[in-house]
Amino acid sequence: MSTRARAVLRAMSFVLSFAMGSALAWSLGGWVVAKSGAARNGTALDLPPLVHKWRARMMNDGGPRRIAIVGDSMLFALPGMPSLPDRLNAFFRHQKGRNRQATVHPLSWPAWSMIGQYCVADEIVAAKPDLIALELNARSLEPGPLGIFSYTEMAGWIEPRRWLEAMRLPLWDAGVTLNRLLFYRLLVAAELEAPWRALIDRQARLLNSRDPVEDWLVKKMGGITTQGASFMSSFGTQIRYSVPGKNRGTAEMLDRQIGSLMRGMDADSPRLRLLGALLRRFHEAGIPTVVWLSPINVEHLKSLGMSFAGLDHSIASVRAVVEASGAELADFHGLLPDALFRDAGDHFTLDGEHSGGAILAPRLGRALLRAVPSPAPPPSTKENAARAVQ
Amino acid sequence: MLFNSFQFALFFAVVMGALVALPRRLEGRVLVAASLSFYALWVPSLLPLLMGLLAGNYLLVRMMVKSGHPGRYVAVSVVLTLSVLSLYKYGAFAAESLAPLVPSAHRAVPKLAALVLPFGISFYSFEIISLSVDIRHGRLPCPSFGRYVLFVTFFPHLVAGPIMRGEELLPQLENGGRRTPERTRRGLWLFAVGLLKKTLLSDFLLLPFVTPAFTTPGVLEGPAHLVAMYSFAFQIYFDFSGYSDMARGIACVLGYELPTNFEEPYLSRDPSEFWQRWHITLSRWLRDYLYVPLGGNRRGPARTLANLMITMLLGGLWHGAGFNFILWGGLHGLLLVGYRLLGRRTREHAEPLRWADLPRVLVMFHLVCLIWIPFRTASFKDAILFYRGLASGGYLHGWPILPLAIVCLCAALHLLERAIRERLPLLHAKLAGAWWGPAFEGLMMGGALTIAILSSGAGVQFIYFQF
Repeated sequence: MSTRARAVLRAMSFVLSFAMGSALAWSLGGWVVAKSGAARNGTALDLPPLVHKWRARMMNDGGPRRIAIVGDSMLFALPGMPSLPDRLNAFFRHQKGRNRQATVHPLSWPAWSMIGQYCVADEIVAAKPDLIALELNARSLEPGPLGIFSYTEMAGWIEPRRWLEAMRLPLWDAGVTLNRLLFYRLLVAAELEAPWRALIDRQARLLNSRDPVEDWLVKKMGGITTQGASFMSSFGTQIRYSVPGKNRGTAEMLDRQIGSLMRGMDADSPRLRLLGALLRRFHEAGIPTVVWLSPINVEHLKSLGMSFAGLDHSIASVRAVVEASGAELADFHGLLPDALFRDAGDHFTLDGEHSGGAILAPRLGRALLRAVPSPAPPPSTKENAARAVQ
Repeated sequence: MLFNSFQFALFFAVVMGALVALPRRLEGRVLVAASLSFYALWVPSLLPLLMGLLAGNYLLVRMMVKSGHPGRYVAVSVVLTLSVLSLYKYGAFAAESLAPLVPSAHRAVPKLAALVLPFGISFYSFEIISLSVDIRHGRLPCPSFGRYVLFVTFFPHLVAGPIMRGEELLPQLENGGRRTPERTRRGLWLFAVGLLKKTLLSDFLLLPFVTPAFTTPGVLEGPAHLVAMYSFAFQIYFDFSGYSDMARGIACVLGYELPTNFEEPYLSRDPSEFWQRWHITLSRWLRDYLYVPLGGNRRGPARTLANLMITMLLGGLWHGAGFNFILWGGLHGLLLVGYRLLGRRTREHAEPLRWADLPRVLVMFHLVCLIWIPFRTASFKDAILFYRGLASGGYLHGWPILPLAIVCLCAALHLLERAIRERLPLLHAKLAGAWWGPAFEGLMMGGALTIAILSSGAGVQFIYFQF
């Protein structure tokens, strides 16, 4: 056999074995997942179906005005209790006259902050809402508390025409680097989302297969399980950063979460720059936006003796950024007393007619009514006939 | 971008394609363009700082070569580089630390905290300084600007080392990479092993237990603290040595050799040997550009001990702006000083390991593990809580079986690494000669790559990127 033929044979044998090795490892991963029955935690890949459903609901809404309310866990419901969007819808249902009618369509995702919202801004615009009610969680102004942005794949939603702007924004310190932005966009453009989802799904399940494996080991060999370690750690953190006997944060925790806000933020601070860019995208699309600053537990902050020296300056900076971007600010930061918060994360209560949600909803509703454009006149009989023909 | 990412695979395929397709005389330019793109693809806005620092320092080096007083220029180069490093890395920390004494410093904190640490600044700053010093002392000729830029930015080592010396890389860059089948094979092996160390061992197996145990120290029982301590020791080792292996593997495939950064450090018998095996390129940088210029061991025993402490404290500070890093460096300094005071001889790391060394290895390993604690915890208070957790008992109630099994596996792999490294040339030769070699290598690499991809669910950055 000639040297050349031998080299070709060796190369082929390498490539074939490489493929075989990959296939074997992939199957092994699948076998472990199937045997362990491990579920997976939420990932950014759960967002696209949610956004698509949300958009479809919005587009199919034949009501006079459609308001997109975009936010984080502040918009979530609790079992048997109406969420803030539910209460807003109830508020609008009780309004008299076509000019005061609207439907609220919530788009919420836990802790995505304005980084995630910036990534999906084009999708929000594509749903063509008449108004956007954008929640501004005080905690999302601080880069620290939410940790590194867990949903970097959302960068795939950023349209190429916004890349130049995205590159200049402080997105990368949260993990949305240029190479990720380009790569995830490539996945979206090449319609490779399905295989990518299959891979991430398997990765996530494999990561969670640790617990069943540990169970099996403990049964076989004895010893103690560490499955509770993560829970105990979170619980320990909660206890450590809670005021004894109260479900409220300590000064140390609050300083980490909203310290910049309390000390005074300038309009050019990283997160406000991002907020400005997000709002400008909505403004360019001609969609009016109301930014509502969600309540913070001022009473508790005062009881801890925290300084409010820079808060007014911060809110003035937020207002300046919001208004310069063609939006309006509805400031509810001091609206609720301590009793109407249900946890250390300043989530307000939702149960009953004297809950935080019940107090906030009509105020926010009125702010939205002031900002939402008048509905288009109902179609004439002639137009109706034309539509029916179409 | 991370070496363990699909983005990097695409990037590397493009670079290799360009190197193969374009004439060899363009190799340097291709690599400069690739290295700058590698950096810019992370964060484009950080590139001007890197380029500014390189241009400024190169100008100083040129002036130094032509001047009759080269010492002045080298001093300016060192001050310039360390000033930029200090501003970005230590500015906020210094302002916060000074705030109780100088109230006006408090006002600077938000602005300084908003300066995000540019990737790799700690690594490339040291390389820039070493180049200036080596050229000043005539150990190196002044390279062209292109070579100078490529030396510092060469993408396999740009963001987290190994910290290169001019004499190691500049001649290779001058001659161009020597790509051979043997080097490609060795590079692929190094990369595959590094990838598995990072994704499977560090992120997939060790991290899930390390994070909760160190986030809230004192919550779990004593055995859990002990196993978490061992786990972190192996996690940081596999994370960083995995990165170094990948960097070396990538360079090898490109046709270049980077130095070894780790040689089974947990098999060390004394503190001095540990630093000859752990982050070797940093240790020798600190020795040659800090310890020796401070006087080394030439100015009497007291000064030697002081120099050791200063070197280790600054080495700790290099790792991060925080008192915990200074404490970590200080504790290692104390170990070195204590060992020297005891009058023990310093071992050469090449000396073979014997069974009789086992007690020393175990003692050294435990000392290193205990010193890792302040390095990993978020604060000094947490470090104390962790030490208390270790002493809290419960050692008879039962041990965390899975993390313990993982630690045992890691220890076995650590021993295996030594055995394999010593026989590596023989193994490579055997694989290259055997008819089944390519099939075996393909099977192993395909499997390793897929296992690494599957175990990347945690998606964690390399620990040393933050330094």
